[in-house]
Amino acid sequence: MEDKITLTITRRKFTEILIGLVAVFFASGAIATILKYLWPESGAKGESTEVMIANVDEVPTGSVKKFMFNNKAAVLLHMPAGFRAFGSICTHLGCIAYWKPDENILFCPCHLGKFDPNTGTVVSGPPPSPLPAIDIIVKEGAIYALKWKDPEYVKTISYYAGAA
Amino acid sequence: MHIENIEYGPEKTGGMSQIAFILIVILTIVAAGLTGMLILKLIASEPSDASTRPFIEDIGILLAYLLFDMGAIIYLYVKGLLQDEYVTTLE
Amino acid sequence: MSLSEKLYAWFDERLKLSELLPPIVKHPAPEKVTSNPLYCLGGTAFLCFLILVLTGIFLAMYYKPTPVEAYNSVKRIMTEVPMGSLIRSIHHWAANTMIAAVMLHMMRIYFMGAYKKPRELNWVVGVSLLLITTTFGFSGYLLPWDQLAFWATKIGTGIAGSVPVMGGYISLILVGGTDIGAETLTRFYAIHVLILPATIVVLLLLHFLMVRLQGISGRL
Repeated sequence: MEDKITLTITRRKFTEILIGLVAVFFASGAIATILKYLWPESGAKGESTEVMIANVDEVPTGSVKKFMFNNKAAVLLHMPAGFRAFGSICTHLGCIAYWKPDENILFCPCHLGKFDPNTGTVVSGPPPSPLPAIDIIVKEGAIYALKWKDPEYVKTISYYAGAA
Repeated sequence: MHIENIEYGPEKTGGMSQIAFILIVILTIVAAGLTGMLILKLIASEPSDASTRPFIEDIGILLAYLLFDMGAIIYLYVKGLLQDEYVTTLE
Repeated sequence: MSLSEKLYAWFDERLKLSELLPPIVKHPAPEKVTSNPLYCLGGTAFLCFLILVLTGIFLAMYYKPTPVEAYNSVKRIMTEVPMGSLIRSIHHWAANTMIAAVMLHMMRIYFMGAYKKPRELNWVVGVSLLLITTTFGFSGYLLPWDQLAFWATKIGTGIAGSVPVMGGYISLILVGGTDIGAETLTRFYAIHVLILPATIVVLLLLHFLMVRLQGISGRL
């Protein structure tokens, strides 16, 4: 007995399959274009330029100033040891931490996270990592925010997405 | 009148139908190429370039080529591969 | 013939009503359930939906979906537009009632075993409807653009973003960028007013078709 497997395909069927493939290819192009339309444009983040936060006299010792840095909430503190600046978005779940002078901490009200105002490290509560520090410079009687001290660290925090 | 069934007759035979078949295959590859160019142009462009008149005209030209290409494929398919009539049973 | 009979006959001759309507209108219900209010929950949800559509249309006449105008337009609806506060409040409470009704309806279907053969597909459609209803709520919640709306959305999109592989992309497409802002508001408005209504109408049609075809299930 002959042991042959024959596969018959008519020219008609072959043509239909080819045209079908081209149609699928075209459809995928349409879908790709739609996705391109829906995709949000990445804000071109170049090097962060100097941002003036405030004049030195506006922020006496023991007081703070809130400012925006690369579209994220940040805070400048005038501690006894000097000026400090941190991103104020809590690393736990993204609420904004604020200065609590009576306890000398940056306090996040959502789940009671506490950060040290000199270093940004976690004092207590659920935040998993410190607040990212911002390099600042004081010149001509004003304080300027330059850049994140550790941009690679900032890139790992999802609540600071797009800021570094 | 209710068209119940469309049956194609057997494929045409002969040299002309073979030529038609080969042309169809070539044209389909051309269509795939045109589609690829279209997709590349659309995806790899900046929105500011993609909204200019020349760009849109280029897309239109590619689409027009694609349209005529598909038209040619359909013509060769029907005239070259199918029988001249196909059988339908009418109810 | 009375006037109403004449009207009906006029339409019947042109639309074949006497063939179309009885299968839709005359539907058998199992005995002993005609007075059980649990069987009304699905219909309650649908009624709430219709109210939401109507009040939503009226709200859309005055609401402005930009960060600059959103809050003020809502305030205007509440204080200056005649009946505005009534319409907005109805929208708010109908939304809450619809979610409650839908969940209770799901529970009664589950406990009465009305998802079993031949109604399995209807259960699937029903769960999809539940998800769409909650998405309606989530997207509409952002629109007043107040503190409650902003932070609730931050939490919600944060949860969406925490999905393992796709999370970053899902969050990016939902939020329209990295931070909740004007793009988010516009997207959520489009979702709430265009995409979800179209989807829910299709799913509701399927849901009701299957109920008609398969009938109301008797107890267990």
